[in-house]
Amino acid sequence: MEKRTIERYSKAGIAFHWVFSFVVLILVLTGTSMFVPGRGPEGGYATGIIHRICAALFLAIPLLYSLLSPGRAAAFLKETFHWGKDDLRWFRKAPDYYFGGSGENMPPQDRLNTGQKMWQMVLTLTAVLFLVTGVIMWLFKSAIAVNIYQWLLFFHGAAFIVFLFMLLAHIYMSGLHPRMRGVFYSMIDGKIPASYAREHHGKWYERIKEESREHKET
Amino acid sequence: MRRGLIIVAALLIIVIVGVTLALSSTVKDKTLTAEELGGIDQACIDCHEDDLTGGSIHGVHVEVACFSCHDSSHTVHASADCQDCHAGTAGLKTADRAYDTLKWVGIGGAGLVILILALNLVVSRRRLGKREE
Repeated sequence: MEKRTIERYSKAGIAFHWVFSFVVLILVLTGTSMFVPGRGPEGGYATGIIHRICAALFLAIPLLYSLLSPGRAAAFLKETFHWGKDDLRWFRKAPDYYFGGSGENMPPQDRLNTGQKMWQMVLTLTAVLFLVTGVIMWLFKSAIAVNIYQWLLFFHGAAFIVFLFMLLAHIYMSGLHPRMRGVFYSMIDGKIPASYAREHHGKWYERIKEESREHKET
Repeated sequence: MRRGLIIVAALLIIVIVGVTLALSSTVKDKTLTAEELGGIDQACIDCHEDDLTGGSIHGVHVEVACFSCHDSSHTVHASADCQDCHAGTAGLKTADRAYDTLKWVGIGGAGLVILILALNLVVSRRRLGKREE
């Protein structure tokens, strides 16, 4: 593997990712355990409390990050919801490519590839749904009809299922897929191999190469 | 492009909700007698209580419920009877059925995703290995 590396994530971004991941992991575990019938009252009560504490952090951490780094938060949303023709082409070519096929016809990608955009979009949209349904169920439970509560629970669960599918794919792609070797460590030291950037994020690689050249010239 | 994505997202939601609701309507209703309806909470507890042994009454499987998990003095449970939330006693409660079915949609779907990812790992390793050779 090529030794030359490119900086991809800031230290603040890495810290945010792991703290947020830890909170999400606890939310997933406590949320899933609530599905299990016959759990004891103490265990159920503690699970509920931990789930609520982590839900508050789930809201607070991105808010805090957005206040401290409004530019990065805006860039996150812009990157996530900005889609083009290359994204459509990626959808057509990705199944063969990620099943070990040739990468020759893969459309060049920006800093985020289409799969990463899709993950961030699902994360953002389900987070909004989690928060809206979760806050009503938590704080306004006494004020709403039982039937409404049940539908909120249903949509909270439906959002969780979509989120879980994408989370499994995200963990697999970033840690296990043979084409993504080395990318996991970028969430530790913030750097990715230049060869990886060239192959997976061609547009972004060319842009930073150009910027670096211009910087040197000036 | 954006419109296409919105359509895909909407279709995904419609499929999940639709499958869940369709499956939920296949769950059989259980109708209680007038006497049982009179003392419905107790009737529910009689059959579904935590210390039920064997999980069946007269050969019929009975789901064991955690009544102690439903703190009757706490928020939404304070004013609710069992049948306010749960299906099978006073007619169809779509939300209850749907949520119950949703769990199995989730478990089955997660299993399917893991299977696809495992298949992907095996196939992509093999194909990439051959290419390197």
